[in-house]
Amino acid sequence: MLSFLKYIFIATLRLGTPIALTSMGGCLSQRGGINNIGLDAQMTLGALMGVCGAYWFKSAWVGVLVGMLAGLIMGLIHGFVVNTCGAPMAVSSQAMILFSQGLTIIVLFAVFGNVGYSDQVASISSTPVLANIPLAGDTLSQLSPLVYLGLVILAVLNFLLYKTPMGLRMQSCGEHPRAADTAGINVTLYRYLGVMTSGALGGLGGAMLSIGYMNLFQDGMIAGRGFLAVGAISLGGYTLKGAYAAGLLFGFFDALQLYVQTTNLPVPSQFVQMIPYLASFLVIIFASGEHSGRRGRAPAALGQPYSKISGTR
Amino acid sequence: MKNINGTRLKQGLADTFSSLVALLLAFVVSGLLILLTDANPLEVFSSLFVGGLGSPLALAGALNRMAPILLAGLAITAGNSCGVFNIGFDGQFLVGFVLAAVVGYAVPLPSFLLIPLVFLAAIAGAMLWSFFPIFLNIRREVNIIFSCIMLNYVGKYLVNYLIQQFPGYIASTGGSPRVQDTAMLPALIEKPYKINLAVLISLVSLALLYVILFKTRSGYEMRAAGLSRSAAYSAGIPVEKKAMAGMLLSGAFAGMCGALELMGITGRAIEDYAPGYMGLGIAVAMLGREKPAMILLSAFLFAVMKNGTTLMQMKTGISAQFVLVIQGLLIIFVGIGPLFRYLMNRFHEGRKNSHA
Repeated sequence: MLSFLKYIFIATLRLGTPIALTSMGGCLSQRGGINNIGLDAQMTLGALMGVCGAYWFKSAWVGVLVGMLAGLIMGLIHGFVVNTCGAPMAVSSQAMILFSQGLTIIVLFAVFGNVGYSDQVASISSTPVLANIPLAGDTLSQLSPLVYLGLVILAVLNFLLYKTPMGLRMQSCGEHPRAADTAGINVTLYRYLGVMTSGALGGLGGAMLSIGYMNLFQDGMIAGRGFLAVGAISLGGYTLKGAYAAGLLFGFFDALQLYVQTTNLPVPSQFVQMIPYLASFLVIIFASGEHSGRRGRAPAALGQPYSKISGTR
Repeated sequence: MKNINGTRLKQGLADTFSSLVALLLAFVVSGLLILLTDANPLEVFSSLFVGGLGSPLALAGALNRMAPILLAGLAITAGNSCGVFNIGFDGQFLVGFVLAAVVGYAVPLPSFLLIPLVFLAAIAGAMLWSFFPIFLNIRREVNIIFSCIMLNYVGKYLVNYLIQQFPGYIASTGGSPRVQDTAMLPALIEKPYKINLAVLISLVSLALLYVILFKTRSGYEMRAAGLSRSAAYSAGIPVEKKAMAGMLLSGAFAGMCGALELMGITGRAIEDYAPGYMGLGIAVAMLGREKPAMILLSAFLFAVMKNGTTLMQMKTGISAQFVLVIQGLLIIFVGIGPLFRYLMNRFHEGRKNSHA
């Protein structure tokens, strides 16, 4: 039983933190008013470029930075297309997803000469420093330092968004951009800040999967986790903490799936593989509806592009 | 000659123009990407199009490949027209695909009865798969993109499971046994080059969608709901019903695409089948912008590119998947289309201000 709990605990944090980080970023972007549904693409490119960075610079940490940068650029493009050009969000997101799929293939081919997977690179999947802590040291040291970094980022962003003037300004851009503009707040700047942070966090989440959990990139390794992150935002009631917790919950389903695969239960493997998706889907179905407002509301101007000239459209 | 509406013509030309610009930019940028991999872009593109369109045989191949792409484009267009983004195409396609295989394998009927039955089964299954997301969206406000993606994965594993339950499942190739010969689509033209009946079916579907969207009241209301939900709502249009209709229509086309794939191309259900029609469908829908001729043309273009990849790979060593990069870029540039409008507006305003 204890070994089961330990396994689930470690696997949940390993698999859940990427979703949680991405989801938290998406929530931040939504608070600023831009709906970033391209999280999946940002995770994919983060994972891919993270591996490339680790390969080029022989350092997993530089890889993480490269992955974040890739995500940030995707976030910037999304912000530009959606907020400045006023294109429909779903369209831009889908374009990014296709673009990332295509780019994955060409980058893998150009850098590693393979189709579908990369070489093995340096990874940061454990934290040996923590091994000396009594009792829990063995468990804690098996987690990537990025898991702890994620919690630190959550604390910092939570403080920035809810306790500082800057964060409150960002929230006003998502609630009523015209009012914020009238009060002298640079709506465009804050919105771009939000969506770019979201992109960088999505990139970090992706890089965590490729070099914080495994040590290579495989085509399709993100497996819809970016969309799980989108679902986690509303499940978490549009708060950073909530989004993070919901992301970890989805990671728990994923961990459960892995555990059931190691046991020899007489269930067809396809149904076991279905667990994370079906469970997340059911949770979302039961959590939405009339009572979802109790957990928190989406920002009022979410998804409405804003420009000084024509206001919200 | 009919009196042509000036502004409408202008708008149509602007749409076509921005599609062409997007196309051009996509090729330029992907050419630059090819340069990065030390190959010659001109050689790559020429082998792509020679292989896809260069001979009567290649032309027949391109036409055959066009049918499922066109249907995928119609599926996405049907959803877009009333403001629903059907990202669940992949799941609906697979459900239609496997149900077509079940009926085509198990039901002993003559061809002229069996083929319509296979279509019906595939369409019903795919419509069911597209019903859940839109129903949950209307009833419980579940994010439609989220539920579509979850159902894609659930569908994928469910379909894999069903295929393994086939009597005579072939583990080495990961597929069901072949369906009966009576379930295979007859050829439209047998000689000199084989052209599938699927081509005709996809063209009829295009005409059908056009008539539904532009010549019926229901289609008009669907488009109105897609253009502005609130305006349509205040005009008394049942917006939710229209979204439901659009999504189900989209699902029906996805199921049809799955049935055509089975009866025209594979002849059996295959595990983890992912021909990537959703991406192509989105590209077709975005380039086509609800104009039948443009939809047809862009579906044909992608079919040519898909058809030519083998020769491109043989001649230049560039991965066949590279076509995906061009598609991805194309969609990005089509998506940026409104940017041109925005820049034009800025330009005009700047001029006005300088005169004042």
